[in-house]
Amino acid sequence: MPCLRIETQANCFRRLLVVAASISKMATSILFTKKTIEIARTILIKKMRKIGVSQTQTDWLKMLKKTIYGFAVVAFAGLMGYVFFHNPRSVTTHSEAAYQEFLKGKEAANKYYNNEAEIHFTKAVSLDSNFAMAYLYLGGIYKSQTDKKMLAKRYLNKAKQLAPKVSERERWIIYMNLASSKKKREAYLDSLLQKYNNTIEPHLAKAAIAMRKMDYKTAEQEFKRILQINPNYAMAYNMLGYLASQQGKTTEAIKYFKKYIFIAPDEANPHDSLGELLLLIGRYDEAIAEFKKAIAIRPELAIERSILADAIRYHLAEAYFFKGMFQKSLDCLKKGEELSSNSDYSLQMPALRATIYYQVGNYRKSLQVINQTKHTVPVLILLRGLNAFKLNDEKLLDQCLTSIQTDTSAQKWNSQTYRLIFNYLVGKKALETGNYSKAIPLFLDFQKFPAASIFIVRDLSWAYYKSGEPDSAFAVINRALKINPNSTDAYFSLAKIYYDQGKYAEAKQAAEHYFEIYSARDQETPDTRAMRLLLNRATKKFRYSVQDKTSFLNRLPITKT
Amino acid sequence: MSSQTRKYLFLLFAIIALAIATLSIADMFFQKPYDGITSSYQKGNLRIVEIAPGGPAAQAALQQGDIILGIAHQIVKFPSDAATVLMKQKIDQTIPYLIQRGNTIFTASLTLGKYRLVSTSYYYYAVIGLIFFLVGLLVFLFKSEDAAARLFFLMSTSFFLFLVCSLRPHSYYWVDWFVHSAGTFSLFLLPAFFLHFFLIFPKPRLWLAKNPKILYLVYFLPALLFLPNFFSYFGQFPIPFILKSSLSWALLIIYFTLGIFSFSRTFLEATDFETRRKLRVILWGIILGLVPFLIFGVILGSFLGNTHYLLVGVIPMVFLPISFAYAIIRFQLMDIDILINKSVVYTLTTFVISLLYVILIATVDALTSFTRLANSPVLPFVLALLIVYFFNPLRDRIQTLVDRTFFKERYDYRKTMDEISEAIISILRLDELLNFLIQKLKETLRVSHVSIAVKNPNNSDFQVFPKDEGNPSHFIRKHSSLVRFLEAKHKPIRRSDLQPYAANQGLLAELQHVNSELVIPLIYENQLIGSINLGSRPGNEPFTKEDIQLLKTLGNQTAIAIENATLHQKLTHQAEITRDLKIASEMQNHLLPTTHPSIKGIEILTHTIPAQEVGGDFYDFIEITRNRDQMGITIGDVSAKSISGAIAMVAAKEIIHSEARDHQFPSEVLCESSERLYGLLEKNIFVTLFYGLLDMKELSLRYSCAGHPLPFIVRPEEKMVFQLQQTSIRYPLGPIQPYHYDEKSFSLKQNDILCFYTDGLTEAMNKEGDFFGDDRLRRALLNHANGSLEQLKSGILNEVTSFLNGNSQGDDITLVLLKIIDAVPSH
Repeated sequence: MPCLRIETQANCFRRLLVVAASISKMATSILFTKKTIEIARTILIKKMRKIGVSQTQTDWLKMLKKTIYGFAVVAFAGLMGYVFFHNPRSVTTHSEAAYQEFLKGKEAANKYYNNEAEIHFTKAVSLDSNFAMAYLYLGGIYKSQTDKKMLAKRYLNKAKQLAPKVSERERWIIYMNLASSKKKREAYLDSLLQKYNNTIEPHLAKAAIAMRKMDYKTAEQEFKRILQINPNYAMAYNMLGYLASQQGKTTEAIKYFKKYIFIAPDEANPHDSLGELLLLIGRYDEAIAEFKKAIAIRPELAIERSILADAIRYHLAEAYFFKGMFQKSLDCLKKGEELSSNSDYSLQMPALRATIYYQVGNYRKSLQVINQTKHTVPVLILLRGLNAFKLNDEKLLDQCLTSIQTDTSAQKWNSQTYRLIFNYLVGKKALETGNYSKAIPLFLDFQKFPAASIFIVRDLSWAYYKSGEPDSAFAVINRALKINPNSTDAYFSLAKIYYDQGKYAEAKQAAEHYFEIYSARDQETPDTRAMRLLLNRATKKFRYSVQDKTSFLNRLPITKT
Repeated sequence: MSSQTRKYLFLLFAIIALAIATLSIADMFFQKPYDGITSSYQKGNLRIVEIAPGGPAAQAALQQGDIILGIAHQIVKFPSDAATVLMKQKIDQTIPYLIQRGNTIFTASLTLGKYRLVSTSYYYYAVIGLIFFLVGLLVFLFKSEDAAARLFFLMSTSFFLFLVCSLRPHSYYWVDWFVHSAGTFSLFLLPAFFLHFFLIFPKPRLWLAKNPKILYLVYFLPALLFLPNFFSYFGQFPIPFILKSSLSWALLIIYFTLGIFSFSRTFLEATDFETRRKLRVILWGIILGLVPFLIFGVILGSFLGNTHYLLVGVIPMVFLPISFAYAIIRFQLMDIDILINKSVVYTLTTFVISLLYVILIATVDALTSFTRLANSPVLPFVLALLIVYFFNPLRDRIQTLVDRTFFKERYDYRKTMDEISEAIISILRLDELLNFLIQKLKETLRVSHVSIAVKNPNNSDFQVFPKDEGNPSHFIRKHSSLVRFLEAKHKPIRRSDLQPYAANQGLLAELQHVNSELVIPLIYENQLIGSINLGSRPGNEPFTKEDIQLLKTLGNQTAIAIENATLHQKLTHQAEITRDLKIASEMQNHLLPTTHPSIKGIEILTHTIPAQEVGGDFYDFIEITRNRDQMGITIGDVSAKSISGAIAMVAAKEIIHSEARDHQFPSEVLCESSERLYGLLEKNIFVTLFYGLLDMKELSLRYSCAGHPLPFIVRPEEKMVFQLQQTSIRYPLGPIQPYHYDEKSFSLKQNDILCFYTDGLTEAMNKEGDFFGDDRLRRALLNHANGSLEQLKSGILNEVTSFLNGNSQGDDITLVLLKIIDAVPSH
């Protein structure tokens, strides 16, 4: 049997129902007109006779019937034309121009071009001051910008005021977005999902809630449902890519991002997303290429203040950082902080700067950066703790731990992140004191988050090794290398453990890998110096020892860069 | 709904179907962008299964097994998605393909080529479909009032849409939705139309006529299957796969099989030889057309998924419309052959004329190509004008010529029939009418011979006109099988309809005898009054239903005309008779003696009351010159009336008159007269006669009698009435030749009254059927004998009148009264 898929199946079905309803209505009206014809005919004949025109009743009836049928045919044709050719607006506005602006704004927002979106939505509300949905979107954009919270509140309130005048679907979306309680929001969401299951908005909202709850499974389901509704809904690919990368499904994530790039060739964001993923899996050069592509697509990103520009600058700085090009990274961050749009990314920038200083061994500077930062982000506490370790400042460390427990500003962050940081710092402390059995369970918390587990590879593998579980140590490293085959931390740990085990050839090989990854580094760090020392020693010792030819490295099921 | 509205609706349906089919065909021929990839949905991915060598995909180094993730910035999952996206691109445009090869995902750029979807098989489908449509449309256009014709049209159009719209690949162009919807719609309705058609064609099944609601079921099942399929286009309807495809195909097989079964039964049940002959063609058409389709197209194609032999299944389907077309043209299955023939000839004519113009233009173009005229804008203008001015007139002329040459008789058929109908009303002479009819029918129908049988009112046999060598039999007997059949059925009989069964042998033999292929009964006031017998047509072309229908109508008119002519003839005959009678009556009046001979001693009174204008009775008083005392008295009755009776009477009277003068004895007179009248009179005419020789001197009456009632003698004084003695030989005159008559003599007395009369008097019959009789005459004579002769006559006639009591007299009444007053003294 022939089976034809139409892009907007739901739309067509709706049209069909509309046609069916209209036909039935028209049939009813025709039936009704039979009676009215009778009355009209009598009146007409009387009138005509009065003015002296003689006409038989049958002729008049025929004429009237023909007229009615003619009208019916014209009405039917008109209706069909209207149904098939009229493109109804998805939102309530009296101005076509405002509607077009709204659509453009929505498209720009989907592409993360918030500045453009802001312009379009502002135009839309200026063209139609009662455009509820435009106010909602505009409010949403301002809400993500810390300095425009008040403006956001005003627009969102306006949207709320106008809500009773718009369609049910729009009203529910507005109420859902502005709900005062979680319960109310979910109630509206449920209603939307039930009644407008074939529209994207409710699924998007549900996915967003699931993301906040870190319920990635539900989020994934919702995004996949969105793709069923519209296989070319770009944002869903972005989110699914992130979700996959978070779960360590990097191949899948790449597939999503590549699809994202494919369907949105004129957008910068997919390149940023893919670049971010490539950073995670250690393909730094490719990542840098993607970020550069993003800027090439939208050159304004190099100079503009926007979330996307922030993200790209931040990610680029990260990429340079991972490659050991610390100065370049610092330059990126400097520019980023100058052009900051106060997005979450720009808040992360000082933390990265502090990390770089920490990495190159300038712990004081690192602490200075941390202390100068206005907004507290979890990673800053972590860095502060790490610096405290390096400076052997126990007081500072305790301060960090206490701040996590007491600082109210920390509460706004996800408590899970704080718990991880807290556990890590405590574990690290235990590790330093040689209490490996205490440290291991604290580090293991990270294992739940594959992407983050790379961060603790050095400490956890060392703790396992030292507690007499070398296999577990290697397993930890192996897992990390699976995610990021160019993880310097993993090779650092590997080299260190091999060396300690007296497997100098493997230690040498691991150290060489380490330096290979860091080949573009612009300065030595404490780690590189340590690794250099290890490499030299291992090389020397290797010459005098007879080693098993089958090294661990050769058995690793990883792809080498 | 009026038939006109219904016709328009059907035509609208035809137009829509044709428009959709045209869209489909145009879409197949339309050049489309091509990527050189054959893909299929495998394990959740759109995988490349084949790459056309040298095609765009091959040039972009795509490989078999690659997964297509997206085309032209659109994500695709199914081949249909891919095709839909591809269809929106332009030829020679370079578009990106997102490809996954193993774990690598990359973008390839393909420069799209072009191709047409149409394949050789599709040509076949389109041609077969078009044949279906045209046959169906023609049948509908010419027989739109016939339910079977309408269904045939719907069935043919469904076949057309199915072949053109369903048996084609998806183009994913915007027309695709219309085309495939129409294809699916027709696929579901086709089996229902097919089954319905064969349930009412060639004749409705009895059980269906009794339970017409079964038809709802026939249509309900396809509708039940179609609706979910239709709605599946619009959303994610959970339709089981079986409901989507297999069941609908199963339904098609079941319906087609039932349709074939129904038709086969009709065929096998048909006792009519001609019907079987017609239906056999269609039966073969269906079997040859549908069985391969059901096997290769449906069972193999849809159930087993092997579409390689689809063409093998579809090509023979052409047998179906062709068999119908053949049956229509060869056997007048639906009586539209003439119109089809005409359409074909007209189309060909138009085509030929168009071709002529093309040739003309090409020739002019070739001739002027070397001249400056070739580049002149005037030339095409002039050519265009030529075409505008001459095309239509020429076409019309040729068309008229074609009409005259090929279809004259058929074209003017109705017209001629109408003319005949009109003409025959005004012809009042039967022979003229019959000749006209025979001549006209011969010309119009071009039959070998035409005869008309007309019932003879005298013996109820049928007399056949014209009486020539073409009619071997001039009579069809009233008890013949043919007449019995026509009287019983009152419907035409066609020799080809009769199967050579024993029961039909008599009829066939009689048809052979009257040399007729078709006999149309002439019915007037529910009575068979004759028949039109038509011989064979050139090339034994059978008579169509249309012919028969027209001839039936003509027959009805002819029956009226014949009846009129017969009536006219009867009236004319009556008028002739009346005129004859008038003449005869005048003659008779002249012949009967106006004055009575004046003989002394005798009083004579005569009175004649003719039953008709001319009576057969006569009397005469003959003077005997040799003996003045004698007088001959003759009273006679001629068996015939009218002119012939009058002539016979004259002859008889004159002969007797002359013989009475020549011969002395009455027996001699009768003998001689008999001699002379024998051979003179017609065989069935005879004369009864009483001849008496009254001798006034001797007061005696010598007499001889030839079958005539003997006179009564009344003697008033004695109150006696008696009849003269009978002679021994009393044969009437004329029919036989008796050698002699005998005679008797009777002596009269004074005051005797002799009463001569004819049998009209004694045989006058009243309503009870009693004759007046001799006894009543005797009594009447006795009762009124005392008065004058006038009183006697009046008395007798009054008694007769009162006896008749209003009943008409059956025969002429002649009364001759003669009273002997006194004897004549001897000279």
